Amino acid sequence: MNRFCFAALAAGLAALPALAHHSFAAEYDSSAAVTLKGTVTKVEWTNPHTYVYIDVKDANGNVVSWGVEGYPPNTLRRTGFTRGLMKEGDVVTINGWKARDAANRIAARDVTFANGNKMFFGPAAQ
Amino acid sequence: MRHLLVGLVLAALPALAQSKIPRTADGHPDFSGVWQGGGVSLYGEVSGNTRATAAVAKGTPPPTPAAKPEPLVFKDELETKVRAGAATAAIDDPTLKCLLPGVPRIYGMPMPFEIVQTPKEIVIIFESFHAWRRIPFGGKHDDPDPSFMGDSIATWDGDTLVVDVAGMNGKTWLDGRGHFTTEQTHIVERYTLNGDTISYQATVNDPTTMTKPWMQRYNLTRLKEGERPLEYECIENNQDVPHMQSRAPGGRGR
Repeated sequence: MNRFCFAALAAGLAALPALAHHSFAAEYDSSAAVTLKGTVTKVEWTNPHTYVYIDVKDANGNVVSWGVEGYPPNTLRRTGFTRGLMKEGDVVTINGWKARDAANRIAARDVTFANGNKMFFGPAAQ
Repeated sequence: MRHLLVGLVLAALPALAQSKIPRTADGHPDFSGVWQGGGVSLYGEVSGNTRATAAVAKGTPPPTPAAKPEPLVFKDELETKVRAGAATAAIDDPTLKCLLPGVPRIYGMPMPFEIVQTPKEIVIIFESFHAWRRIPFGGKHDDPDPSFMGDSIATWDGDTLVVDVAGMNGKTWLDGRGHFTTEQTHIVERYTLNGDTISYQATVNDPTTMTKPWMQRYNLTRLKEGERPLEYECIENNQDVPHMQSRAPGGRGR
């Protein structure tokens, strides 16, 4: 039912800009889902989007910094994700979609903290 | 005496019917409160969240989507320009550069706004792009300098608030697909209060670009008591543009 409600809502409002000021598809690739696990190095609680930077070890053991785009701070606040919940040094797992320009950059959907708490961090892919 | 009583009851019926919506001291519908139109990012998570959010109560049903928008038809000779705008929307949509979205597009932005109503004017404070509108009751457009949000005048049509908008500056789009406004764009908005929802209807006309008036509708939903617009300084950390300009579909490429 919950899933249905969200799907119905998303379908009805599909023409609206979920990211407030730019389209998802112009910047991110909804077919390039990715899960990143790493350590938070920086949090930018800014508009029009929040950004979190995490250090992730690649297959060769090299540490690569990824930029993660999320909802604006006001939207996160209203969904319960308050400023200060995610801090430098936190180990997090983030689901999202890669940027089309192949930079180490994703649009996040959710963040899971080390204690298992999972929070929305950005809109669904469109 | 019996006739008098019946008459009094009949006279009271319209008042009873009207009591379902809040009213101001002068009897008009009271639109005061915090509302939201577009709302995937705010409401979309409610059904998936196990908690109530700060903005809406737990179990709040998602707002009923407004009617599907009518197609926006521009004159044939302008279709090339519209298509060109749509093709580069990832770069050229004015809102991407954090410019004010104009009317009626601002009601589709997924952020709340507050309506403050007095007998003399309606003031709307938008979180989105920190826009505001000051809409006096009565008067006429007095040769306003063109602006992104236009010049607005309010009147009442029964219980419906009617706002006439002129003085647009032609720098806004009506949608994200290149349909641009001009200084001749004229908009008539109708706000009808139904409890915790406002039926919003905007009829947009521009004889220089459109073959017929275009109607946009939104259901505006009341947010929880205590919710308020917060600061949204769009240009603070707008990192998207360079990424979109690089290899986005329709982008200019490297």
